[in-house]
Order: sequence, then structure tokens, then C-alpha cells
Amino acid sequence: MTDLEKNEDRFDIKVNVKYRKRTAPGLGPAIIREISESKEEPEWMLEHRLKCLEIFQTWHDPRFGVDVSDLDLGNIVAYLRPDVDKARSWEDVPEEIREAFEKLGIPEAERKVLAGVGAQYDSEAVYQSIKRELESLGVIFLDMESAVRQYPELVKEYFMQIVKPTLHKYAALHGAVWSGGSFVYVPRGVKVPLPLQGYFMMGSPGSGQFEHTLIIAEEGSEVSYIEGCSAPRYNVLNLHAGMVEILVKPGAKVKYVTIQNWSKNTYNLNTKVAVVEEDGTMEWVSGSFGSMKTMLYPASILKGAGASASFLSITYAGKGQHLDTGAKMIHTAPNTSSVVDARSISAGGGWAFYRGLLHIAREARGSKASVRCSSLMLDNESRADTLPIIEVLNDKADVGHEARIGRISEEQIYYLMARGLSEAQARELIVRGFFEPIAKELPIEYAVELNRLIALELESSIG
Amino acid sequence: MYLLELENLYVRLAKEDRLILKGVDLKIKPGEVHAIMGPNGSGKSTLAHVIMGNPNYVVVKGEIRYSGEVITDLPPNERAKKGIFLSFQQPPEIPGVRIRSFLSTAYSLTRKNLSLRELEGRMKTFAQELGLSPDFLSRYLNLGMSGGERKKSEVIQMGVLDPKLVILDEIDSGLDVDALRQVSKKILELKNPEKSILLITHYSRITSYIVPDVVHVLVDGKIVTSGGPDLISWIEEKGYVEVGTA
Amino acid sequence: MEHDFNVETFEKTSRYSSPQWKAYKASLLDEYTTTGFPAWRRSKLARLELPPLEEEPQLEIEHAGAVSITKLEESSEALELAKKTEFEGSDKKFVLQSVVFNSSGIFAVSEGNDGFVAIKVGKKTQKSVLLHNVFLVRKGSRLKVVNLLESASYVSVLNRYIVEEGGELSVLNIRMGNTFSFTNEIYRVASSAKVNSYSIDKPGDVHAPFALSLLEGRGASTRFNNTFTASGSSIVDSMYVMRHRAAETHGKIEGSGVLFDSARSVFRGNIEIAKGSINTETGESVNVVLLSPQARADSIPALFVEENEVTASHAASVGALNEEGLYYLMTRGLDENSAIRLVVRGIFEPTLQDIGSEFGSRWQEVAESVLTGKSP
Repeated sequence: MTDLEKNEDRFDIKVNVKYRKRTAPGLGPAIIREISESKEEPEWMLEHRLKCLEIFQTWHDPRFGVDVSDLDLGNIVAYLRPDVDKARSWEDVPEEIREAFEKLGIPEAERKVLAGVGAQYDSEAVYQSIKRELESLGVIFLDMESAVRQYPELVKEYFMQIVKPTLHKYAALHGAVWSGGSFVYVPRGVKVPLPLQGYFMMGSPGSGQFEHTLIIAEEGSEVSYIEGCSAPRYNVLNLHAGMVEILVKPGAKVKYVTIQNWSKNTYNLNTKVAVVEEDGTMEWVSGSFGSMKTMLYPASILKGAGASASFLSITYAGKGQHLDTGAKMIHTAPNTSSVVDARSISAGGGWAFYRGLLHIAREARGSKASVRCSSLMLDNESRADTLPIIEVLNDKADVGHEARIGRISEEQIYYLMARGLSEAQARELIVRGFFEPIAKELPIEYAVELNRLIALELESSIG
Repeated sequence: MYLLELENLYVRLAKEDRLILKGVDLKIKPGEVHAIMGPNGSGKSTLAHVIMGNPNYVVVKGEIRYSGEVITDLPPNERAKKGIFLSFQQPPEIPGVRIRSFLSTAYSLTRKNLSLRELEGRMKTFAQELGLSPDFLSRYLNLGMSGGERKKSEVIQMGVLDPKLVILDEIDSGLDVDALRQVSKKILELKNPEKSILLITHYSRITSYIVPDVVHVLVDGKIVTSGGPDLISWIEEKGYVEVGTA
Repeated sequence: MEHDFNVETFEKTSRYSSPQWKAYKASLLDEYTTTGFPAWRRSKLARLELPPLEEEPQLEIEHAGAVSITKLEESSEALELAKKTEFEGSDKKFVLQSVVFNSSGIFAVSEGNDGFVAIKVGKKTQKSVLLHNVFLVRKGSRLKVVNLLESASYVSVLNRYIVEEGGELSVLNIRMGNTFSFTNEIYRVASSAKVNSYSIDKPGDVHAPFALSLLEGRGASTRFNNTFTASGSSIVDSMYVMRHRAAETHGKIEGSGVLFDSARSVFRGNIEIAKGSINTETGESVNVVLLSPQARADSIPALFVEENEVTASHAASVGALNEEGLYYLMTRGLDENSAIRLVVRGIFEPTLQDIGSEFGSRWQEVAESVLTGKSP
């Protein structure tokens, strides 16, 4: 806690780490070959990377969302590999890096409440562990590189099949330089009782992080995955262009939780897509606080009859931040359902933009969908925009949408003050209440963390 | 020694230049129950909110003393900490904030002698005595509550925060007969010889449950007459207009 | 598109314009010819063909009360107003087209509180009809305007409304059966002025209405009410913009529609609140009912907010007809078709009532006949 009070940002942790490999700034086939070689990848992966590079180099930037004109990819170091081998025990992780993760409370949380943890510093996984019971049930939880080597057939079948490199420019970039991330495979009928966690950190200035997470939940299985992201603050721009692909097979259930707190010089241009088969369930829960600019639109493709998805998110756009996010719900099968509850706060000149898509295809008869967007503006320096696109292509769908822009009313503050709270406490309580329905979906440690982040952000933006 | 003294109080709205209270004097001793009665628009609610420190009102003249100390310029939370409690006529909705956690926060800011567990026990008991299930404490503050539930939530808060001066602003509005009986009973149980109650009401109904020692009639921002409980039946009979001009 | 209007067309159509107007139009001609037609995929504009221009379209004009009507292009006041008003629309091409090549248009000015103007045009012409009208509601006066566009092959209209302080304007647009229609409306609303604008739309093929209200003065208000029905493979592609630029302004965008067959609607409503527009109250609600498995409804409600002391919301719903309601009516002896007709009529009812009370039963009947398909 004293750390917390001294530093404005608890996640602002810098460490001195020696790097084994550092590619020259900029991108070209030579660097791609170098990355692939050092990872001892099979040929098909190298080919995939080169193909993606080609697409990336010919593709234009998205024509909406945040301004990326000052993002100089030539200067983002694509691949940084810390000078360590992956450890199975925290004792084996070099002290500086372990300390950084310890400050984030990861090893402690693992002992208490997690079934497995993967930790990534810059480009490579530094720690990976999974409880033995799960291993014996056939659950695979590996860093992505090891998965490519150990389960080449399995990975090849799914890798970037859900998100094609042609989806957008940064998906192609990701495909070319991806490094690290987690591979999760849950066999048929296995229910993983505790969440798995991946934790990603960017430790060097001017670097890029491009982790790839692939989750396959076989028929009737269940798994929760928690993703945490952070980076210390340096003066150079960082780029995060990760990718998450999730396949929810019939009757399976996947919950994907993200707490994003990249430092405020990070471009977060991320891609997340889940394909949900018959009667499968996909749940997204996301808290976004960090980054300078974010463009992220987690998508759920409901392609099996009876599939369902939900997206609960909170976004806090403070000073200097432009967070452009939203959910895509694509219903392509009958009797599918989706729920979106997106909440944002903008303060201190921050800009929160909800951009979402709800598509009900002709075949998706009997589908139901609701989208709710709420924005809380803490001052009139900030901006809150809402743009939910709704497309309905059949007459047997039930679609509803609601959006509201709000502020904290004087009456609410007075009422709480009449019960003994100071004005600042009253404001914080109201803001927390605004987030509460989402926060309660988080594991308790994360909910606590979230409250701390809100308190910090409020302090810095409304004084 | 008085618990509350209002002296020649003139109050106007903060956002427009309109005088609501035009020279109100009121003195309440510890343990006393006072009732302020008056027609709609007479300034009754304003009086309640001015004592609590609502920023929508500005004291232009006069002062408010509590236990001998001038509190005219204190913010509402400081007054709450000193032991003033206002039960709102229409408490606002605070989405996402559960009664339980809110009350423990408020409690820790005002009194500190109960442990969390004891506090929880007390809340549960109050809820039960008011005919509410323990789940009620997990509900969001006033959100989607019926009129009766809101009033009960206010009384639970009053019970937990244990104030010295309780101001009840139209506590009987929105309550049916059974609920009114429950709520009044609870309020009287919580009362002790140190505590004072200021009842703000339009109708005399509540005064048959919580019997005042002193009744004041407020018309057009001024107390036009004060007296014992007998005054109530006189008002019942003649109406405010006649009482006010008498 | 191979054929487009050109200098020749301009010379022909501007021969009755005043020299000032002609100069103004000429100054925009270049921009027009270098601007391409938009390629809206949703509206299948690729197959748009521009019929030859109707050089002197028969405008039927009715007017009553304290209102003066002049030919638009003879008035220098109208020219000044046109120059001062925003040049926005669904696409610049159509806005320019109406201004540069219009062969008809009026300038209507209301001075009292009983002004009424009705303009009817287009009946069954195979040619292009281009109109540019300017309406001025002077300080504290009142004006009611009816625009009826019916059964033309190609229509491009630009209507500019200037409502001065405290003025009140009611507009009823009825647009039906036009093969291609592009209508652009700009409202400039001064302080305490009020605009109430209804549109009843039933496309022949493609209908793309655009309306923008600039709430420029304190207390200005605008309500856009759009009611539409489409069948066959027609499309209504509409855009409504409420731009709040002053304190205490009020805005309301209401859309409701019913789609049959493989018809499609795109309803875009933008609410923009500039910083400083405190105590603004604004909202949008859209409700579209699909009556066929091939129909498609897109709804894109957008809120752009730079001020936090406001009340702003939007709500949209898309779906089938209330089945419980249908069932209820059928238990009372109605067959399914009559029940559907009754429920659909119910959707339009509130708007028709409002139109009746503002424009009288005559126009209510016209609107009703467009929406319910009965001949008036």
C-alpha cells in the first residue's frame, strides 16, 4: 500500500533485465526468419509469418477509431527475448522479473486461487505451471511456442483460423511477429474448476508485445481464463497487438476475463474472437484502464444453434486516453442469444467511444439480443460517444438497445454526505456503484484490484 | 442546554432568488419530540434540508446551532458525523451500491465501536423487525424500491448510525397502515431520553404513532403558532389556513 | 453512371434565374461536375440512372395566411440565406444537384402566426425533378409546411428552413412511390424557436432522406418524427442529425417503421452535443417491425457528447410484431391478416394523431393512406 501511495501507478514497475536477443528496429522478412529460427519453429509457421508480413505491408490502417499517425512501426522493436529459459517454479525465475510479477501479486494469487499461471515478460513466457490434477485430465496449458513444438498438429489445425490475417492490418502484423501467449486445450467434458491465468508485461521501452492466445474447449468442457496486462511507463511508444482466438465447441463454456492496464504510452490494437458452436456459451468480462489509445472489439460468432454470448465491460478513459472499444455479436444460427452491457467513464479530458456491432443473419431465426451502453461523464472536458450498429435480417428476432449518458447528480452526493461521507468519498462510491454489476463478475482479487484502480484514477482525474 | 437551535433563520434557494424560510426560530432539547406541520409549499422540507446542510439552499440570515456549536456553514457529512440524521422523503437511487457495504462505510466514518460482525447482526435484526428479508441488505441503495421499502431502508440506516437528532421528512408518505406501524414502532424503540426527533409532516396520521411534545405550524416560511399535541386536533378541524391566520 | 447533368443543362435551367443567383449556381457547377455520385452499396445505387431533366416541373402550391411566396431564384434575401446555411446532406452530390440544376423552387416567408404552404410535385413524371426551396419563419411567427412528393422517377430536393427567434415551424413531408428520391433538409433554429417535422415515407425503390437540425440558440427545440413502410425490394435509407450548439436545447428523433417482403431500412440518427450546451435534453428512439423473413432493418443510433450536464439517451428495438397482441386479437375473432393490419395501424396511430391535430384531418388522411396502402 505504501508503494501505491507513493507511485501514482502501482503497475509502473521497471526492472533491469538482460536481453538475449533483440531484433533490429523495423520489420522485414529477415527479422521474421530470425524470430522463427530462434523459436525452432516448423516450416509451416515460418510460411504463415511471411504470408502475414506481406498482407501487413500492403494493408491500410483502419479508417475509423483512434488516430495512429504517430505510431512508427519501424521503431517498435518487434521481438525481445529475455535472457532466461522458461521456468516451472517461481524460484527459477530471475529475481528482477520475479519481483516485477510479485509486485503484481501473481505468485501469491496462484497459490490461492488459480489452476495455472503463465507469465510473459516482453516476448517470451518466463513461467508456466499447471496443477498436476489438470494435467492428468488431459488439460493442456502451455506457452504458445512450446505448444507449436509439442502439439504441432493440434495448433496447426486452429492457429489463426478463427481470425484470418486479412481481417485488418494489425491482425496481419500479429501473424507475422507473434510471440508468446498461451495455448489452452480442454478435452471433452472436462470442467476446469479454477481459472487459468496469463499475465503479460512489457518491460522495455519502444517494444511491441504480440502474444497469441488460443483456447480450444472441446464438447461439454468448461474453463475460465484470466488475462492481465501491464507495462511500466517509458517515454517511447509501445505497441500491443495481441490476438485471442477461442473455439467453444458444442455445449462447452468459456469465460474470458481481462484486466488491461497498459501504461499510458501504449497503443493497444488488439484482436479477440470467439466462435461458439451449438449450445456453447462464451462470456467476456473486461476492465480497461490503461493504454493511450485502444481499439478492441471482442467478437463472438454464434454459429451453432442455441449458442450464447455475453460481454460485460467497463472502460475508464482518463487524461490523454482515447479508448475505442465495443463488442461484436454475430448471430448466424437459429435461437442464439447475446447480451452486451458496456459501461464507460470519461474523466479529465479522456475520450471513451463505444463502437459495437450486432448482426442477426437471415438464418438466425428466433435469436435474441440486447445491447446496453452507459456512459458516466465526470466533467465537461471529457467525451463519451456511442455508436452501436444493429443489423437485423429476419423477422423472428428480438433485438433491443439502450444507451444513456449520465453524470453524478448533486442529489446523490448530498444524500451520501448526509450519511457522513465526504464529497470525494461519495463520488468514489457512486463511480464504484456504476461499475459494480461488472466488477462482481470478476474473481475477488481482481474486483479488489479494480476498486483500487478506480480510486487511483479518480484521484488523478478529479483531484 | 438545547440540542438544536434555529435563530431567526432566513433561507433562499441556491439557484434562484426566492426566499423560502422567513425568520424561523426553533429550539429542541435533548429527548424532545417536535413536529413541524404545515400545508404543501410552506417550507417544511426546506427546514429539514437546511438543518442537514443541503447545498441547494442558502442561509441568508440567522444561524443553526447544534449542542451549542454553530453549524450553519458545515457540509452535510460533518453534520452527520455530529449525530444529525435526516430520513429523506424521496431518497435518490444509487445504482450498484449495496445497502450493506454502504452502511458499513458510513458507520466506520461516524461511530466505530461495533465490529463488522456485530454491525451485520444489527442490520439483519433491523431488517427482520421491519418485515424485510436479510437479502434486502444486498439490494442496491434505493434502486427500484417501493416507497415503503425506501422508508424502511432509511430507518435501518438511522438505527445503525445511531444519531442524536433524527429528522423525519414525511416518513409516512408511501407507507400503508401496517408499514407505518412497523416503522413508527422501530423509531420509538430506537429513541432514548438523549435523542430528539423532529417530525416533518403534512398529515396528522403519523402523530398518533409518534406523539410530539411540541407542535409547530409552518405557513409561508414562518412558524405561525406552536403548542402541545392538542394543536393537532385543532388543525384537523380548522385546516392550516385558519390556524395560520388565527 | 454515363449520363449526368452538365453545362448545357445548367444554361437551360438557369435562364430564369436572377443574375446573382445564376452567378452563385455557376460558382458551384465545377464542384458538381467533378463530384461523383455516391456508391452506397446498401442502396444499390450502382443501378441509378438519371432521367432527363424536367425543365419546368408543375409545382402545385397552396398557401394561406400571412405568408408570402416568391420564386426562389428571384429573391436576393433567399440567396443571402442560402449562402449562410450549411451545405450538408446525405451526399454533397445531391445537395449540389438541387442547387445548381433546380428548375423550380420557392421562397416562402411567414410573418404572422397562421402561415400555411403546401407544395405538391412529381405526379407520375418520367423525368428528373430537382427542387430547391427556402423557408423563412420570421421572429415570433408561425408556419406550417406540407411537402408532397409523389410517383416521380427521380427526385432530388433541398429544403432550407430558417426559424428566427421564438418562431414555430411545423413540417409534414409525404414522400411516396418515387423510384429514386434524395431529400435533404437543413433546419436552422434560433433561440426559443421550435421545429416539429414529420416525414411519412414509402419508397418506390430507393428513398434516402436526410435532415439536420442546428439548434443554435438557447432553448431551441426540434423534433424529428419519421414513419415509414416499405415493401418489395425497396429501401429507406435515412439519416437524422440533431446538433446541439446552445444551452437548454431540446431534441427528439423518433423513428418507426414496418417492413414487408425483402424491403430494407437503414435508420441513422446522430445526436451531437457540443461543449457548453448545458441542460440539453435529447433522445432518440427507433422501433422497426419486420413482417417478412427476407426483410432487413439496420439501426445506427449514435451519441457524440462533449458536455456532461445533459440528459441524452437512445433506445432501439427491432423485431417481429407483438405475437401476444396478435393472439389476443385473434381470440376475439379477427383473422391473422386483419389482426396484423390492426396492430400495424396501431404503430402508426400516435404519429397520425399528431399530424391530424397539427395539419388537420385532410392531411392526416393522406398520411394514413400512404402508410396503410388504402387510397385516400
